[in-house]
Amino acid sequence: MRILFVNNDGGGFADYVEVAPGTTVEKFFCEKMPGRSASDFLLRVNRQPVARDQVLQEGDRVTATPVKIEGAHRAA
Amino acid sequence: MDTDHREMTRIAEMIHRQLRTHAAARLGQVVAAVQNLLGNLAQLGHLSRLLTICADREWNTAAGNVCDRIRQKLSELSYYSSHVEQTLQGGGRRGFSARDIMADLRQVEEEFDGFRYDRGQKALSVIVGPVQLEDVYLGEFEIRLLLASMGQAGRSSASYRVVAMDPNPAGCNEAVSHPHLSDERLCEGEASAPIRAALAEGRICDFFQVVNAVLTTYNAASPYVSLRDWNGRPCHDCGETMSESNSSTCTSCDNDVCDGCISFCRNCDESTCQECLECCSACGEKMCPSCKVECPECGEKLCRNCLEESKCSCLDESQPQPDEENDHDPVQSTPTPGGGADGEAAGGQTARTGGQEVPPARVEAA
Repeated sequence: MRILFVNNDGGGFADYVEVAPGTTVEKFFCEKMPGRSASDFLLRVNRQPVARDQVLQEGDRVTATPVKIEGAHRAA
Repeated sequence: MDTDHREMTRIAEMIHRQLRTHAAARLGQVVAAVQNLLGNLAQLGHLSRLLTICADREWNTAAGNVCDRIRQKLSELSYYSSHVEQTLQGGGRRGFSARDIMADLRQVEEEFDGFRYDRGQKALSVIVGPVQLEDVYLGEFEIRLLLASMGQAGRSSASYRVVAMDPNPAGCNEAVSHPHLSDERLCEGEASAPIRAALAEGRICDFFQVVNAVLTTYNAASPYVSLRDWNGRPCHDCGETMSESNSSTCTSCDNDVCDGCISFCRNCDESTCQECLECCSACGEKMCPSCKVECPECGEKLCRNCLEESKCSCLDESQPQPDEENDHDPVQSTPTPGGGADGEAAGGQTARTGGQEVPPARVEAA
């Protein structure tokens, strides 16, 4: 099934991705953001905060925004 | 439909229109970049035909020249190719519908305080904070998104301002109200790409969340003013930030200077900054403006001690020197065209003899 994944980390892309039916939010996060901790992100499904074990549905919109982002004297 | 809903719809449609206009402009840039690349490819084709002719007729020297031009063209093609890629990054973004934007506005209203729309400035604002970083209270900030310049190509920082509501600026720079803010402009650092993407795609809530994440994070490696120096003041002499315990006040100019820039007058021992100190022309020691006096004879600047002890060089001139002193210095007996014993030395200037500077009184005595 296809969901919209908005990743506000790094390049900040938004695109449709394929996920297996029955995929939970936590599993999806681990697949897409390996090595990162879910507690460092604001995770939203369809603009709402969700439990980690919520199962994703076709057409869902998942947004991951880092809680902390480093600014800099000179913009990157 | 209530008034609030109408207003939201109006804002969402305006943002959507704005983004469509800019998206079309960006696509135009992509087309222009591709045309450039194609033009250069056509030139490469022409060079290939020339090389074929050279090879057929065994014009080896000419063939070498054509090969050089092909090499140059290849490096240009690499530039034009990467230019197309760059423009594609901006132009190939997916567009969100007015409905998506409307939902985003509702989300912003739910997640942030102080959500408001300023019709005059066409600015959408939220309030974040109060922000406190490492025990330094910075207060609340208003993130003001300027819809008219939203989604334009180039730097995203032109599309918004971050305004301190209850400013606690750095002691050494009033314009810095946050370690990563200067003159209401955020230095985005790692947030640069996600902010640009969110604005180009009309993801308003993501934009506010990312800016909020920067405001609530301190990057000690690259601040405008480090939090360690936040409450310090600038040294009047060198400009470095100094804390209260590392600063002194110059007794002459009353300016605050750091430990590295403060000194003292060798006459009166008062704390004086380097800018206020001058050297006594007689003893060479540093003196403060209060201890600086002028010689009543020649106007030379001296310290009080040297004046009281009559150490000014002009006073030496008026007193004849013992002859035996000159006997040991044969150089002084040879006046030169540049300065000699012709009266110029009597004006208190040093005279140059044989490449060495000699006090005028000595030359005169010679």
